Amino acid sequence: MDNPTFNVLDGLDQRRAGLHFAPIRHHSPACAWAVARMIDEIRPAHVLIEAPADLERHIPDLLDRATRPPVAIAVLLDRDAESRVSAYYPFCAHSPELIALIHGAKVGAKLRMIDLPSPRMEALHHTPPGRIAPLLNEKPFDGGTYIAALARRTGCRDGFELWDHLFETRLGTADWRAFFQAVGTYCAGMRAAAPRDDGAAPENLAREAHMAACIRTALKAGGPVVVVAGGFHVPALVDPGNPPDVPIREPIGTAQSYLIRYGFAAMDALSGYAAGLPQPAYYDDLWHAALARNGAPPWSDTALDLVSGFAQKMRRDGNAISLPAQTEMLRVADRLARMRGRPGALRHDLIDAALTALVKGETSHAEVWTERLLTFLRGNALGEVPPSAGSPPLVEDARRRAKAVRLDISDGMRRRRTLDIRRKASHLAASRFLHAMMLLEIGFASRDAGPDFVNGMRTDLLFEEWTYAWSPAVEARLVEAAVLGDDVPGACLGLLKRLRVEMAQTGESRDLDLLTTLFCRGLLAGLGAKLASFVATLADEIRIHGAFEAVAGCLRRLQHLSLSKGPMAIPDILDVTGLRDAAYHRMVYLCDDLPNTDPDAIDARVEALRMVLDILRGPGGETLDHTLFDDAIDRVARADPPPEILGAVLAICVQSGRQPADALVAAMVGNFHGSLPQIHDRIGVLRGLLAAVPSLLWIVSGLMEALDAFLCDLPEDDFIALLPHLRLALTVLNPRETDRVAQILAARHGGHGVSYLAETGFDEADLGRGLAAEQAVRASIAADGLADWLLEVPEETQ
Amino acid sequence: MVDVQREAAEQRYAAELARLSEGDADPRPRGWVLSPRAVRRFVLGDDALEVSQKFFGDDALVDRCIVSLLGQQGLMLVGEPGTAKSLLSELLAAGISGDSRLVVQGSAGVLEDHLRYGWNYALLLAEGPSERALIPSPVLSAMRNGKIARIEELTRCAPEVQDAMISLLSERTVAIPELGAGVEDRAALGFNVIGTANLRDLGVNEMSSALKRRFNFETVHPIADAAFEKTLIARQLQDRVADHPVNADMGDDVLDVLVQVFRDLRTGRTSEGATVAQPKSVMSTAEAVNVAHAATLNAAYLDGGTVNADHVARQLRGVVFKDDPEDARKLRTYADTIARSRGRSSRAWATFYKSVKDGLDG
Repeated sequence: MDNPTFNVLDGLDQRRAGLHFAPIRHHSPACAWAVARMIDEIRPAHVLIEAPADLERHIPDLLDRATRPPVAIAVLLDRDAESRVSAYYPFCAHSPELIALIHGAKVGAKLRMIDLPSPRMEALHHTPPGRIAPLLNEKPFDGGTYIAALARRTGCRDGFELWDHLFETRLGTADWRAFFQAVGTYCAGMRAAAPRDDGAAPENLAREAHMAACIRTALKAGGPVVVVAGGFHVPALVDPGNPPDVPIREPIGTAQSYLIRYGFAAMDALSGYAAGLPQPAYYDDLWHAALARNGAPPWSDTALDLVSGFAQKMRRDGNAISLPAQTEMLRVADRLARMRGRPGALRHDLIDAALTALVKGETSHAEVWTERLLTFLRGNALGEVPPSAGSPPLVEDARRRAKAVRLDISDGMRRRRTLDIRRKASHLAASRFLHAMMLLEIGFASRDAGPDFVNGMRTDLLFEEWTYAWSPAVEARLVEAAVLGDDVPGACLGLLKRLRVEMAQTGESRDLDLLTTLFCRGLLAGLGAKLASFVATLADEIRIHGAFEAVAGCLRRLQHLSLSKGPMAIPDILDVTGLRDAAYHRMVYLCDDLPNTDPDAIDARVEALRMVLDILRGPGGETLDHTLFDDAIDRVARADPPPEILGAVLAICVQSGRQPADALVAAMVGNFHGSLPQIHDRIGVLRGLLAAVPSLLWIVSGLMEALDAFLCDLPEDDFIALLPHLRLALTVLNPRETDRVAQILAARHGGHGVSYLAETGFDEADLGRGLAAEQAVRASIAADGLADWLLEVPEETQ
Repeated sequence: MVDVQREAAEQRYAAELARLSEGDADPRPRGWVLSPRAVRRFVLGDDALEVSQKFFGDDALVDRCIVSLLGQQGLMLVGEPGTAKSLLSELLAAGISGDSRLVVQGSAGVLEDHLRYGWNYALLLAEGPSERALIPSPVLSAMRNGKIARIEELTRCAPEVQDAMISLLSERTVAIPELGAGVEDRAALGFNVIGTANLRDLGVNEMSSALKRRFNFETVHPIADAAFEKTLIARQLQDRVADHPVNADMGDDVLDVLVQVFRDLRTGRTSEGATVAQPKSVMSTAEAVNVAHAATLNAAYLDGGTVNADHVARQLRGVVFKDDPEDARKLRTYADTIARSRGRSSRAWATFYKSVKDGLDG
């Protein structure tokens, strides 16, 4: 085979054999147009399209009168109980495959999908669990030496512009044969120049072998047969009697599929995976313009409509475009198209024109007007599917649950609901459902007010206020979330699992705070006993965690959880008390790290020590073994820790009576008079003491005296330098405690606390002298003729 | 006859322009010497007609510029220094009007007369105001003859001088009341203005929004493709040293160092993704060519050998990092972090590292 191109071209239209090929690019209106003409003329007995064979059962729904594109067939493949991936096969109004089905049905053809069934697709095997697998792969259209050379020769910047330049300009042509010959030539060149990895990849060969087998079957059943397939594959299919001998992968797992509403935004996001042309709203406009004209779209009118539509949208968004700028944009687009040899402005001409006409100044690579235009050309349309299409189990489950808890989802209205979560079981159930939907981040509901159990804020509140709305976008997001599970709790669990994997990948798996937050959110979502495996993970992480303060923080949250009732009540099966004990034991173990605390971590650790003290003294603290902590603290006190830690642990020991008060006084005095380079280092013990047990300052005799003596002896400069640090250390005292300290200190100096707060040595005679002095100054100013300037109040400020 | 250092584009490429004009079958706007497509081929090259490519990196930008000049708006080229804005402006003027010499060099000293007209005062005194005594500015000449006027560095002109451009661009006429009531020069078909401006440099004047509205702005970006930038620098270096009767070779590894250093410092990120502190100095492709050129001459005339990374580093210090201590610090950090580790697997990088360190610390 010297020149594969000629063989392909001969093979496209095999009239004698009754076999006709339409090489296409996905979502190309020009291809869709030619496919329609082709089927109308040939009136085939079979129309075969490149789509996974197991999706064939959706053809009746796709052709249903109630179906309005964009729609997609969503595939959920369970590779095993733990690993599910999803894939989408989208159809818009200008998809050649959908047009082939519609026109095929019109001429009474049998309609078939001929690609490998989805469980055998390579792409679905390699995709990580919980992710979207690419079903359509058009990478060769956008890269490769052939496309690059052709783009260079035609002055196009990439494969997309080249495709539009060569083929979308022929939208509306009646000569479908010439059109497909041109596409065939293009694709044959592309395939011949493709690296071996693309063309002869086992995945492609397996798919092509399957398609060839389906073509043979159709031919046997009787022609004519029309095959609508991606241009890259057609060169391998024109001789279906001679298929490559390749092994086809055994199906792994089971696939379920659903016809769902789809959106242009999601389609455009898929095009990021090289699956069809981007900015679907633009091509949709071209398609409808061609349909209205029953031929080539009126290019200049279409460009005018697009530019003025864009300007209207921008005006609504508060970014109005002036009329001269619109005119200039249209002119530039039109002249660019003419210079580039096109019948009218194409997508890239419009993008260029926006850049030229709308941007005044220097641009960066992410230019805002270009982004706005691309978003406009992408569109936001959502499709419709007939009720018979059904929907993925997750969507059905969410609907059922919403109705069960009496949330009105009959329309897209935004509604408010107040839930009495502590007294009414039905309201608690609704709250759990709404929390679950919020966890899934599908934009269904938001909590406006109420207790925040996750962060421990205002947990005493009785009511939750919610706003919710069931929109098509919510449904679309739920379909996307279907990859996580078949029902709402299952999807929530799947999400938690995925987040945990992601945390491990980003090195955050040791983040106890985040893990506990996720656990709390799971509890709020009503996952209850299903969180058992999460509890096990959390326990494992606690047992190996190395930071005292993190474990102490976790201990506090677990203590709260183990005591909580109502919405955060823990099901018996979840051993949160055991988890709390694990955190307590780990915290005790990590106490021995305290003497070697890094200077940066000192504040956090002193704070953590106080937290532990609160836990032990607080409700439920009696169930923890205090002696473990006491022993650990004693060890720390003996191990010469940094002054702050020493102050805190001694305070704890003195308070529990295991150390004499003198030890604390001695430590503080020693610190006050230590030989330390920075003056503020000398109040470390005091800071630790204040942070842990501030009341000891006035309870333990000798402490206040030592502090007072230290401050009195301090030279003035050192005192000024120390003042901000002292103030910071004393901020832990509440106003009443501050007052108390002030009273004691004032008494030591023979006064009363209040006497130091305000200046009281001021009498009537002083006031008289002050007024007389002011009079004299005013008189002097007036005598100098400066009264207007210095004494009069200007009129405008009166 | 003295050899000039640099001829105008229409003289340098006279043969190419003639070939393009001869084979130009596409519609030609009135006042243009070539069709828009032929202008595009003149700038971006055409193998069949042996027309060389003169501007690299962004073909669509050239299309947009040509289309802008077809309309009523002026064209304003903006972007970092050294991204070939002036070259593009010269090429467009040469292609469209066959004349790239109607230039006003913008500076703080430019007066409104430089944009409109002035007088030969001897004649003015002798004859009174007359056409003979009038000295048209390049802009007025362009209007009279339907050509492209170029204004370089427009933002360096004082705001009131810039304002003179507003009426020129919207009315497209210059009134000359000295020659009598109602005497004016209306722009002939083919007239338009290409400005270049640097919006970020210190000491420039902000353009008024009224003036901005009369221009279509195009930003000329540095070349995005590293391999292509390397080819381009090599080619331009070859052109420049062709005038010198010496032999000096810059090895591929040295050229690699040069291109990488410029790209890393320009973008603030290495190809491996490490962050680099960006110097204030201009790290454009044109500046890279300057450094390569100077390094080559240094090696050829003074060291009599091949160019190595030491020559590059020395020129880089001298040409680019003139005397800003902050930039020198950034170069040192770059050498310590990036060049040093690359030096472990490449001799050229090791030389570069050593030279930078010696130069900065010595």
